[in-house]
Amino acid sequence: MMTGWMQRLFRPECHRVQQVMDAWLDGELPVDQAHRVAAHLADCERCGIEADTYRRVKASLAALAPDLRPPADPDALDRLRRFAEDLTTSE
Amino acid sequence: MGRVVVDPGVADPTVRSDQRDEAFRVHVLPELQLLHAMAMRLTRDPHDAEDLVQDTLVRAYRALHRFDGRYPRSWLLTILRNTNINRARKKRPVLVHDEHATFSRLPGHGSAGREGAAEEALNRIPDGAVLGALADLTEDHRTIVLLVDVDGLAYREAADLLGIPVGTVMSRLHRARSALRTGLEQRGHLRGGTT
Repeated sequence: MMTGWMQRLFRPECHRVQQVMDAWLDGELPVDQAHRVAAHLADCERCGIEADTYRRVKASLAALAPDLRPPADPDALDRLRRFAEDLTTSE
Repeated sequence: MGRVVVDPGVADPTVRSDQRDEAFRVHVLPELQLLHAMAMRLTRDPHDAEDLVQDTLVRAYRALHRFDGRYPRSWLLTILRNTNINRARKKRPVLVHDEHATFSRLPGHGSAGREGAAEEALNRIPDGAVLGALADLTEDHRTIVLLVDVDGLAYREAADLLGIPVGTVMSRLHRARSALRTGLEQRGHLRGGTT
């Protein structure tokens, strides 16, 4: 664990982590790589703050999802389900 | 759930219709809601969306004998996109239409809205600021953010829906989030990467 100014230095590892930060936030990284990123974020104040910022933005968008998603239409879904079921018996 | 794969050796899809029906039930029916939501994103019209999903279902059913059972969502979203392109050649498809009207209708945009103690407790950024910053993004940037962060699509699925490489999804998403962050900083809700 580093302390003080060393934590805020931009290291080569920081560059690699920044390149995959989005994929890490979105759960798109393989498990071993995700663990390495998480370990770096816990150790590096600068990258940790960066990750927290984007995590906040992502969480805020997710919380708004009911407003930002296309409106659900249960009747349309029922009709589509019946249409799909008919397909399997009629073709 | 185990994969149901139609025997690829079956050249004529009508020969093993029981197998095809089972594959359709396993791979396609669970994605009906997602297909409808994405059709709404593509068409912005309830009737067009329903027609688009119907056409997509027919195409998917007929193409099942060529489907290997892997990544059904990606496969279906590709069919949805291609079907939409074929249907909408006369008019340019849009993913987010009249966005300023859409966003201004939403609670919290341009007002105190639901901002309050609960959001503070959760460390959330106020809704109005998020919606404002989102509305200021370019259409491409807003679309990729909505597909990944709101609709929950994986990169591969977003790539298939938009007809672009996964690498382009990643770079576009990164630029979109940077722009969103800048917009939030300008609104005073994020400060230079710190809270």
